[in-house]
Amino acid sequence: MAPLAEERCIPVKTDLDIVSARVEGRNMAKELGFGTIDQARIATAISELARNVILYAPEGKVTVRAIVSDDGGRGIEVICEDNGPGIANIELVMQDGYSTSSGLGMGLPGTKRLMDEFEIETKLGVGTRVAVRRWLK
Amino acid sequence: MEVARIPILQIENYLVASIQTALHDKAAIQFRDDLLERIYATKARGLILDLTAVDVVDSFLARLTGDIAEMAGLMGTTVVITGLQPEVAITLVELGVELRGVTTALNLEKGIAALRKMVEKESSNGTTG
Amino acid sequence: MAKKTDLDQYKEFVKERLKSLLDVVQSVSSGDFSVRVEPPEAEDEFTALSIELERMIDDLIEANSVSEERMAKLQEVIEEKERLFKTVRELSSPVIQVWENVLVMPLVGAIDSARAMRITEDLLTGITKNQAEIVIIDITGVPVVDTSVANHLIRTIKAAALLGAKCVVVGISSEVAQSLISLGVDLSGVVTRSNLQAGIRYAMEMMGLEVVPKKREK
Repeated sequence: MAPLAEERCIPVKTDLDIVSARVEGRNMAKELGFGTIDQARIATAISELARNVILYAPEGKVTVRAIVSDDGGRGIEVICEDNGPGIANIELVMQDGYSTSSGLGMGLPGTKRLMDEFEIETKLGVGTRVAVRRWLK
Repeated sequence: MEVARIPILQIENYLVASIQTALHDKAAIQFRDDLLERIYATKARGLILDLTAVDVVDSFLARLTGDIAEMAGLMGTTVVITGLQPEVAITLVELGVELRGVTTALNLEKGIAALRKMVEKESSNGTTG
Repeated sequence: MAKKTDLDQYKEFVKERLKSLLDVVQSVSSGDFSVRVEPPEAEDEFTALSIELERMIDDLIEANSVSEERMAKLQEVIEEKERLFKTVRELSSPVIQVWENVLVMPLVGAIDSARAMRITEDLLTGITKNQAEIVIIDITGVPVVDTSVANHLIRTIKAAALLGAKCVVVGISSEVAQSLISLGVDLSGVVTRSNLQAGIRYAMEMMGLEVVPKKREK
């Protein structure tokens, strides 16, 4: 998969950054030709991922980039990385209805449903990296 | 930090608030507190939250809305959400987030009509004077 | 300087003629029909081969153009089919207003994920445009209602509810009902009625309307 030159990176540290990240993501989605519904899906997914950074890590960043598939299809990729504590049990957080003691979940199963591809890497004590992609149909 | 407040209007015995800008978390929480304060102060029977200008509703905002409905309900106020955009509705359903305890209506006009019906029903049932 | 023997001369002649024929064959096999066989000045052992080669190249050129024509025709047929499909798609999820604030959406044919998404979009657009409060979704014409279709339907209904519209599903046959139950699909939040008429009656009730016979003039 070859990334195009277009790439935007938004640092995430406060709740204001969540809005910035999803506005950037939505704009890029629009530029790439995604319809309103897909734009909403992408912006919401970014919002969920960026919020996890605010909730669980000191800081992180969201990178949004245009991508091209092997058979020429175009799409958008969002990578959200943080330097947080990492996730101890990925299976658990990927279950619908999972929430911590304060009643907050990580919104990951929902985010996965909104996008076409979902990958997560995490290392305890180092951080977490989530990559999601949506393709133009 | 001063957070621009969302204006809350009063129509008859109902409060109406329309979210016009992208709300970051702190502003959203401030909004919720303002709303509950106004409900308490005016003893409004109903609250209409208009989301026509909202282009993203994530799990945080959905939960906040549910909180508003629950807390308002405790004070005897019915909450109606209006103006949800189709793309937001579809996304919310796919996200798997439910807007609990909330009645929804297409627009302000229908929202007020729905409120009237519900408030009338409550009065005739003899609940909350 | 040794004089070239007749044999050597002959070898050179053969090499030359073969090379020119080989060049042509190589060009043709790489798709270039512009290089042609040069007619020999005088008849020799290679003349027959040259003539046949020319003929073969002519046949190839003809076959090629026939093939290209066919491809073009095929492309036309494909485009025509696409237009037809587009029309079918547009007709396949119409939204009809049968009364103020009451919509009917008759679904006919198989529903896959792509179509389900279109149905949801068309429905929500219809609700917004017609200010609908009740939508009757008629699935009598949907041949297969499996878990996937049922889930799409449930999601559509939930999205419509967020826009303030109540949905009632009609046309669920007893076979479909049985298979949905055995598949464990949770239809608890879904209002259903047996057919379109029952659905319309439900809609009228919800809207607080009644259909009564006109008073006859004496």
